[in-house]
Amino acid sequence: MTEIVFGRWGNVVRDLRETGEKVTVDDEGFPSTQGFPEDLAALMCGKGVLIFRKDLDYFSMARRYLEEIQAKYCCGRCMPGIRGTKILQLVLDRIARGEGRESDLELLADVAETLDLTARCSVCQSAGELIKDGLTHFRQSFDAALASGDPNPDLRYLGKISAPCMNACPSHINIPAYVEALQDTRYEECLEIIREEMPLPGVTGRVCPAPCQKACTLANAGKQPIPIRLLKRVAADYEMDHKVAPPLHPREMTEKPVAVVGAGPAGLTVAHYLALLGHPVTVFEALHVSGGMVGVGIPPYRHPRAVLKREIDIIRGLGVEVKEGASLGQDFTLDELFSQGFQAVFLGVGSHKSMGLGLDDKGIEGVFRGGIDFLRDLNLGMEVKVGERAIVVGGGNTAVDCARTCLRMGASEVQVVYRRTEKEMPADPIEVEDAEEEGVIFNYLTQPIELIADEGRLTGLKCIRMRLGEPDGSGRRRPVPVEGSDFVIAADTLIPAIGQKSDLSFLGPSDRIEVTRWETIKVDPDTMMTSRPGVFAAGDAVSGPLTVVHGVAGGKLAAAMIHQYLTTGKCSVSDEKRIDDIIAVVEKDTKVRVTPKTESREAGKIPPRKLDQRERITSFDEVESGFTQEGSFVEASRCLRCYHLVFGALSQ
Amino acid sequence: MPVLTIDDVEVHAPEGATILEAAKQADIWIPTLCWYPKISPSDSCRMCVVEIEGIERPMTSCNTVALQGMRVRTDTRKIQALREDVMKMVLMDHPLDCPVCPACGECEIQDLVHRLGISGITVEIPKRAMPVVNDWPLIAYNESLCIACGRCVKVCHEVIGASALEAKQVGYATKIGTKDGGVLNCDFCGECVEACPSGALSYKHIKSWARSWELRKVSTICPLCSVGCRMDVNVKNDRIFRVTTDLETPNRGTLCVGGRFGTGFVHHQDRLTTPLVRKHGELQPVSWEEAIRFVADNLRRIIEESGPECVAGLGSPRLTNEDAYAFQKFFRSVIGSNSVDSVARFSFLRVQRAFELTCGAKGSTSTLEDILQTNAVLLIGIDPIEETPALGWKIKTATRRYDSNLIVANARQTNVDRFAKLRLRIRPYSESDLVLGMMKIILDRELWDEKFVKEKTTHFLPMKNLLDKISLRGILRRTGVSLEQIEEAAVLFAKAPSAAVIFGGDVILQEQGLQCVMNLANLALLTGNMGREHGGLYPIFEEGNIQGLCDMGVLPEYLPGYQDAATARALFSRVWKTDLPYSKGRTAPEMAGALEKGDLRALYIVGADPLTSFPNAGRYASGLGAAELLIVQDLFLSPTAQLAHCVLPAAAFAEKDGTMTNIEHRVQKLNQVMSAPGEALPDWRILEEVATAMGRPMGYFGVRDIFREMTRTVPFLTGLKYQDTDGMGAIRQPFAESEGRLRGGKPYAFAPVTTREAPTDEITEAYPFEMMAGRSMFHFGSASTRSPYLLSLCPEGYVEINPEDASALGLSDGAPVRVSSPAGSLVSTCRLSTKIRRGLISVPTNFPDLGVYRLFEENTTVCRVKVAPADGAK
Repeated sequence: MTEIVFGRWGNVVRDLRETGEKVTVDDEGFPSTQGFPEDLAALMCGKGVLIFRKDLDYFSMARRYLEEIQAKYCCGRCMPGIRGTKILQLVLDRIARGEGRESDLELLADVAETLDLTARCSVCQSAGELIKDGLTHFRQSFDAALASGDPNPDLRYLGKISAPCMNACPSHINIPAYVEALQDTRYEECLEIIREEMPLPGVTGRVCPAPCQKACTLANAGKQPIPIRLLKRVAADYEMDHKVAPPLHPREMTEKPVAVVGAGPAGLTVAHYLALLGHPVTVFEALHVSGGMVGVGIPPYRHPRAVLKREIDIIRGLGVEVKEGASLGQDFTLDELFSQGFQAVFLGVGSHKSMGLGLDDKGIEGVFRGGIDFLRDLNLGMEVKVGERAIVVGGGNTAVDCARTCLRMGASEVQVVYRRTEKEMPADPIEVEDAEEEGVIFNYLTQPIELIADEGRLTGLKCIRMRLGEPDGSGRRRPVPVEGSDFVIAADTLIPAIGQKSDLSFLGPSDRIEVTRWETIKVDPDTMMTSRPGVFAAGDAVSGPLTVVHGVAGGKLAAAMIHQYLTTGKCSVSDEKRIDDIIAVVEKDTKVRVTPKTESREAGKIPPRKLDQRERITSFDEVESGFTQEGSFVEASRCLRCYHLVFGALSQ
Repeated sequence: MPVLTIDDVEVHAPEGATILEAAKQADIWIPTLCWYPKISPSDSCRMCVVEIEGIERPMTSCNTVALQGMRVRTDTRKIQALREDVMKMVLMDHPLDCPVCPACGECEIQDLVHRLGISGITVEIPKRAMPVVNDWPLIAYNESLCIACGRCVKVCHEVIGASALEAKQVGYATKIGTKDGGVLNCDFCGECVEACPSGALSYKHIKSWARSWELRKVSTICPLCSVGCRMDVNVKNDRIFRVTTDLETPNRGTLCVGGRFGTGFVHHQDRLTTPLVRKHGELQPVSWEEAIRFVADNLRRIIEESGPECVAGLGSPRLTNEDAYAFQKFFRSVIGSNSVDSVARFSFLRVQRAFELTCGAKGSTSTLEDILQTNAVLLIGIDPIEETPALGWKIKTATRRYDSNLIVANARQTNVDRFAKLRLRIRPYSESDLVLGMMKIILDRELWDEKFVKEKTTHFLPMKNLLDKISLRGILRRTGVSLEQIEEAAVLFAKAPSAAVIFGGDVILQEQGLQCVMNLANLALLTGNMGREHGGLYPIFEEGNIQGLCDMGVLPEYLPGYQDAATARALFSRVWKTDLPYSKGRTAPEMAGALEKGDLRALYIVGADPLTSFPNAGRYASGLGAAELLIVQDLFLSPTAQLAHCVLPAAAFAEKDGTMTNIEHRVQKLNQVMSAPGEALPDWRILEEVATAMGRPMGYFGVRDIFREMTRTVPFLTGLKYQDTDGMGAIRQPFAESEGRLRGGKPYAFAPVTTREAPTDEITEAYPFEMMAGRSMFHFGSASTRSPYLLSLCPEGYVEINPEDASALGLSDGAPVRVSSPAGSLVSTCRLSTKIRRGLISVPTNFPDLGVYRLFEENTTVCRVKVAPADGAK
């Protein structure tokens, strides 16, 4: 366990240098240090300073912090930031060279104070704060430097800009930057920033559950968060509607072709970034429709297919070849891919197998195999029919998608049956709200126990009421049946949507790919490499069913690792990943805010547009149409820019 | 409306206003540096910080919205100290080379330091001596003086939409630069220089012959295009030093390359400074007395010999309303003829005719500001950034900021294409068909405004019957665009709650211009976009005061204010104290014909140059040569003036008073900035002199006399005061729905629709290219081709050609090229451009020496030509 010798976190200061007391950090007011690397000697960021090594030289690290701010992170958009951090840097450098003057420390204090109070955002504000900390608590370090220059300790530094939203986004998109671009009505620049981390802005602008918004400082202060997802969509839609070709410039092609299996979010992301790095990529997609779960899972009223098609076309435009109807295990094997000359293979096969209800449904007409199959068949254009009264079992987004789809297919009554309460329901609350508006009935604390059929046709579902008992392994309270509370819901259609998993039956022993006990592909989480060298995997096939943006994040990491593998022959954990892990710990503590700024205007002045609820269920037309451009810059201008540089010193 | 207190003053702020705006309203000064009224707040300088009760940290007032009950303090000790600290940071490395700084006397840094009472700096860091960027045209950038406030970058992006400048690098290295790091290649409006609070951005050409405080600023109207922006001409000793703007203007203090850099023509060495009379075949300088006598005597003689109908006049959009009014009055009351016309015959009056048959409007139906609120804009046959940039910016802002759907239909790529949701690269000549296609689809899909059509229009069914007979397949073939594209255009346009059609020269000037404009009016009626708050029709004419020229009656068919002689004869006879001519009068093409036949003996041209700017110029060349008496009043010895028997030197816009009317019917006052060169006189003065010499003085001693008379005779100017036309001017819409067609009690009528096949005879083989008479990005009419700064951006005419066509012909960029039509040929240099599609070339009409219109046989702007390398020199 890491121990601190000095810490300031928010307003709490703990100085243990003199007492020699040993205190673990996850004390009151301090973040849990779980997840910090063992060799972390000190950490400086917008929330405070944590020092783990008694001999750490504060002056030296602060100097490096300022150097880093000036070189990379001061955005150049405020005068105190630009100039204040420059003065600090110049004075620290002067001291480091042994040319410091007595008055310099006073000067540092003055500038730091001004910077802290006037800089436009917390990047430069926190630089001021950290200098103030140093002058207050580490005066001797500054005095020593003044006398004999920078000791230049034997440390390695890692730094990266962070914000609560950026960290919460699995793809770590530079959200404050793109929100600011939008505020400036610079849609193209906005997308350039997004595409550095994520190639599907139009898709995620529609279907992402937006963990970033839950992490937004405004949300944590009990206010409306910045509508980050819809803002992204405004930019993506602007580009799409105006038929602007994004400025993507692939590097010159290498002769190291890569095969990507599965054209879902993870596979497409791998293809996108490898193509930009100049590797020829061929994507093999088993179905006749690309996009994975985005292509065949999410219904078109949430995400019109033209959006996905365009984003895939952009990726194709980078030179990526997409072969549809080519299934691993049936049409080709892993070994064949390598013998065809592919130097690396990425497996992004997703999680497309429905889990069963575990009830006897043999030969009963009107019972679907599973939600995901139901949606896929429909999206592939197969003939699918639902009856008048439909029941969907489950509480995830798939269940809600199935329910709303049934309404649009003509069912007059649609009921969702879920065994826990609304609070435990994993589906996106907005989706649930939309479904309720459309007339879907939700039965919480209800468990199906028996199918009722008449002459082989489903006529109803027998259910039992549940109550919440003790928490289970997942931390959620386990539902327990209430005796004698069983009842029947009349229905002619039943769609179980209680979960999905990967179908890895195509993998044979000769493929040498290890599988976990949860039937996912086993990978090294740092490198995304499977048990077979040269074969990488990410997305739902590795993580189990998660979101598009998780798939993209995995794909992005896999692409970087495949590139490393292709160019160096091996993969090792990147500094980027290490600092991301540190950031994850820092941002987890939401009690301490990075920015002391206050919102400068109110939210919701121009609300996003939505189809009328009566109109919605008559077609698969998109329900949401997002913000107007006018609304988007009003919302974007509320962003507090809770940016800070997270800077770690590592013992060599 | 939130009520808050600022420094204990209760302020009622408008909803959504910022604290800074609220404070301004209450006359409370908050210092700012990066704030600039034309752009969104940047909150980068932190000068405007204030304390708000209940909020711990200082907040920037420029972007914090004023809320009910807020208690704000703008000037506490803490706030003062912060401002001082930040200002000192700005000063710490700022070169204090004030005496030689281009911002000297107008430096906002200096002003603020002074007002904040800062007397010195606490930290000094090495001053930067960065090299000055001096290789951009017209504009220089001195990084050492740049404080990275971002005003230039924002004004370029938000107001102009050129987005040519951007912030580069981060931290202390932050500076501005071009996107690709190369030489600045933009619209050259100079707004970035105007926005710069320091001397970082400056005009390269401005030499140090004047200090800012020595300049006299005179507010007047830019004459170069029909938007007529208000600007301040800065002069010293009767020489224009530069042009700036006041923010309280209809153009919100913004100017384009024309106003900013294009006024230099007034000082051109070729300005006419004395009257000239042809003696022994040569034009020779004479006194005004002799020239006036020459004109008066000859006119009187010809009228006496052959009657007033053998004299005709051509006016010009260069004239002020007062000049134009005096000109037509001169003809109607002194000469006794209605034969006054102008270049408007081919543009404005064609539109006018089409509108008369449909909606009754006389020019555009809505204002420029309305464009911001219009949901869909069909921009057809015009590149607004080339012709009327201020209108182009409105379109750009509407699409970027206010969700407007822009549809661009043009044979060439335009400068607003990247803002469009739909770009229809139609074949030249096919605009009319495109509109018919849209109408067919709108009817098919029942997207038309049935209620509006039923209640407010007539002749719908006859129009629809004709439309039904036109096949969509033919339309697709003729326009060269796909069905999907026309469908998308139709749906975007028809579904918009308000939609506007903005159309220009390519539509109006073509042979089928009348039909095409009628179709556009039909489209607006079909979708109910007439008489709405936003939307409607915007015919765009490049020339300055073309609206006023026609409003003032410089056309044979109407008296001033579009009044029929039948109804207004009594009024004018009373005011002019003379009877009015009864004859019909000749139009410009009729004048050319009459000159050829010898029916017309004298032609009096005021400001026009038919040889350069009239379509089918060749015809005028032979006609003018045959005239017995040709009198030309102008600024320069134009190709037309060179044929004249008498040339009279006229004053340019900056040298006279008067009013002009822009495309949104805004009547705006010009103020004389300086004296005219030599003996040049305002046009109305010359006409009054001639009238007096002919024994029938018009009674004008100043422009106010004419203006006063205009307000008595022109109904829509009734009650307008001369001084009201200064500043924001006054919008006087010469058309009201209630005065519309009133056929069957309805204000509007559909016009019949027709289409026609493009000619596909053997001429296409001999002349495989189509040539469009276009306009140069940096020139406005031909006057600006005498403005040195504009010439530095575009020094000469050129032939724009697709690179593939060029390489097939063995032409490279800059190579001499010969363009020939059956009517004539020209030689120019080749400019390769992918903006233009294969099989098409474009040649600007701005350059008199190129004489593009002489290649045309008809009154049109597209003709068939062949293109070949020209050997050797031109």
